[in-house]
Amino acid sequence: MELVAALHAFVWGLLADWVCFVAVFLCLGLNFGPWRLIPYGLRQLWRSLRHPGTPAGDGELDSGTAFLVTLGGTVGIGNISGVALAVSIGGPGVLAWLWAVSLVSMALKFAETALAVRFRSTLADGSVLAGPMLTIRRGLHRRWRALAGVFAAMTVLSAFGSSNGLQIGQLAAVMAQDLGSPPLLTGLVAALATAAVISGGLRRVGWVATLLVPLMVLGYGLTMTALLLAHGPDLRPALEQVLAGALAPRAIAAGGVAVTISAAVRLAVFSNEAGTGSAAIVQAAARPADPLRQGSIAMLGNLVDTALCSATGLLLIASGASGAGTAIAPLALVDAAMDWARPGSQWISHLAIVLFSFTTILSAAVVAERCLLFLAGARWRLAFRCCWCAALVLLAPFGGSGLWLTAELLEALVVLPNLLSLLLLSPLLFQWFADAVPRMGRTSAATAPARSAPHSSPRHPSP
Amino acid sequence: MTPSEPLASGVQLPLAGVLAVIAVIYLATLVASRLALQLRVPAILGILVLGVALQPGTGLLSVTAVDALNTVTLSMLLFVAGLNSDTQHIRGFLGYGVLLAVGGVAVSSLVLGGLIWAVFQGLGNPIPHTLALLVAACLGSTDAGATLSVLRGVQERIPVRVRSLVEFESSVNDPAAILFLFLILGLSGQGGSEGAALLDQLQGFIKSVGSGILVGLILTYLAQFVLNQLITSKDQILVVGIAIALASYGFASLLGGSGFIAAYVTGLFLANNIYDNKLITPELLEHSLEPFNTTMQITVFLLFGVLIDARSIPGAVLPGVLVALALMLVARPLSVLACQPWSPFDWRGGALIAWCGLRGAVPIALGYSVTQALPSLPGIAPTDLPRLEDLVEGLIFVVVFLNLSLQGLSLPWLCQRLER
Repeated sequence: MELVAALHAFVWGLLADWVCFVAVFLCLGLNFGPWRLIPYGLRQLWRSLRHPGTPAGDGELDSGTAFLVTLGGTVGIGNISGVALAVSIGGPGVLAWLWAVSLVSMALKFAETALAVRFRSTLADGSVLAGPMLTIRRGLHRRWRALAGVFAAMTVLSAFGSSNGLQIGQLAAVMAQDLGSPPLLTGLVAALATAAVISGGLRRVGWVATLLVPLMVLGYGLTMTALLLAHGPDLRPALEQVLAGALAPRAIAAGGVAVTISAAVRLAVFSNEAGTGSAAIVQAAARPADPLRQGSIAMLGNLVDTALCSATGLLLIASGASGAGTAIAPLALVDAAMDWARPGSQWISHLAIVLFSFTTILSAAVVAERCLLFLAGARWRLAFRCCWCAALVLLAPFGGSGLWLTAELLEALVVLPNLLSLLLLSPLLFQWFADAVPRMGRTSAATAPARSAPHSSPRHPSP
Repeated sequence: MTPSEPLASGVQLPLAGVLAVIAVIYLATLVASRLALQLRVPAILGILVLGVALQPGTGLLSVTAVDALNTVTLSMLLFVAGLNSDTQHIRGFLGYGVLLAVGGVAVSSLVLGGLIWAVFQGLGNPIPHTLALLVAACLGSTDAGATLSVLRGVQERIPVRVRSLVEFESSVNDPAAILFLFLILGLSGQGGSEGAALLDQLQGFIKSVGSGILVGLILTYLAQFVLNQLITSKDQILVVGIAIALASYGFASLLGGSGFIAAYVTGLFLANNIYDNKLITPELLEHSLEPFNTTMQITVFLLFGVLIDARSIPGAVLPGVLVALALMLVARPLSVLACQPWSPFDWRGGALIAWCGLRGAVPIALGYSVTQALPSLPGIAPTDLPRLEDLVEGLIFVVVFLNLSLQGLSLPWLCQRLER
């Protein structure tokens, strides 16, 4: 375990910075385009949610449903106990850096989704496969081929660790605490529910996501907002702490600003899934095959996710619970904060954890299955689904221990190939974006920001 | 950071006097380089000798000033090296060029390190093997300017392909040598025995390379924006160049990357790029920076000539000659030979490339970094420090001197022989 811990520190010491650098690079190269596309993305999302059938095209899900499935995967326990962990490591300033990082990493998500749409492929049975593994295999030179396999394999493995084991562990812990149900029972129930959903394939997952995800995201968001507003006088000092802590962290963060930033980046990678490419796997396979549209919708997930993280974080800071340090388990910190906000209201965060982790398990199952489909074809689909549900039962008793580190370590091997493919394909991406954005301005008359995009946008250097 | 600031602290001169002295010295460098060219050796050799001849005494420049000047110069040199790494000209043997630059530096540094250690062992004046490796790593990089200035005299006799390759290799092996040097410094700094410390060092190394490259990329983008949108006349390019070179060093270092790598990457990408602004071509960029680069090179040679304590040279002559011979006759040919299986050139081209490895400003600047890092090396007694510092300084000076003069003088002759 010590070796894993050392390797973990080794790899994440490197990756935290690199994710940021690549995101900044893409942001600059796209001329801050993703930010200007936010209104366009919102409009497209709204349109797709209201008229799910249109427009026709390849792909099992329409873009709105795909967004909800992705969001279900993005919004997980990272938004609750992950925030608590990050804030207790890096101080209140983590939130400010989280905002910065997630704004910048919208470019990352936009880029990976747009590229994944560009390089997606239709299988023999008519279903569409997309994602960084296909981007690598079809977009890059043949010598990078092995990387696609590495990406897909590591996504599957890390899904078992961080999306399956970790989520079910937290879920079981909450259930054991509130209802006293043994973890194995919780795991069994969750496994049965998961089996019922994923046996229906992508369509049934999409159907469940359209039911559950808006409910839980809006419900949690609104409840937290109400709790925060109820403590209006404490909100201002909390915000001040966040802004002050961004550049001058308290003594808690022993390493100074660097610790705060790296905690924020790691939170962004796990909570927003910045750089892991899993959003691209679902979103890019949706219809229609329009890179601009899918990219603009996919990156909105960052905004929603960050908003939920901020709500949890602000409550933690306002309550003063985050000052206790890393000695207390993250979940206990959240409980303390909820108790402070409204005595006896821990059930809100607990219900949120149950729902969040359940949708994450579903969404991760889809992502992992797609990667397995890429690796081995449809033969292993049933075996995978059985393994996934069995893992839920088996891993429920030990969520959160050494498993977490191993999962994060594997996740690094997911992030690296993805970042590399983004860098190598960035000339193509920037060229396409410079051409596509003026075109978009013409097709939909209401997109004012797109028209102001300069035609002579600087190109990426081609070595 | 001009030499004028600290001048006043050593010798009390009025400002006018200081300026006059600087002007005279700069003019003297022109005389020296003219003389050197007359003698058919690279011009920078003349400047180096002039610097040594001046010998204004110690305490002329404070240590921090030299350090700062050294850093500025190295980052500028690497930025220009990046600008010079034109991938268009060496189409078809790009892979070989990179292999020769990176693999060649590694092979020649390792071989030379062993030889240096053996030389000192044989002379009864042993030095630690890490120090031998460090000195060898300093001597790993070749100088594009020096090589080209010699090749210019025999231009018609040298195949264009060989010329392009040598130029490219000289540019690429600068960052390679720096990386190798920092790797050795990092590995030896902690004693190298503890597993965790080794991992830390390795992480630091990978991080500095990766972050350097990424920050370089980001700054390339900023530079492009400036060049495309803000530049209104060609005369402003020099400002952009200097600012970008220094910015890439500064930002990369602040963000935990290697500033030199960032400067190189920025230069590399800027040179191999197409600009929307019709005013700007990569050649123009390179040519506008050339005067500044020449000034920096002259300054660094003069400065390091001045800084070398002439008294340290006699003691280093004998080992210096042996090491220079080892470098020219064993290490460099061996490194070219090791890459020969992938070479698109025949043995004549290979021989020419092996003899074209002229050392210049980068080894001297790096040698200075090594003397600064000496106290942190393990296994060196504090009483030994002054002796070793003198030794490193003198050794690198003698090797660069011999390398420039011997190879510079004999290159035209070799070209003639190979032609037949």
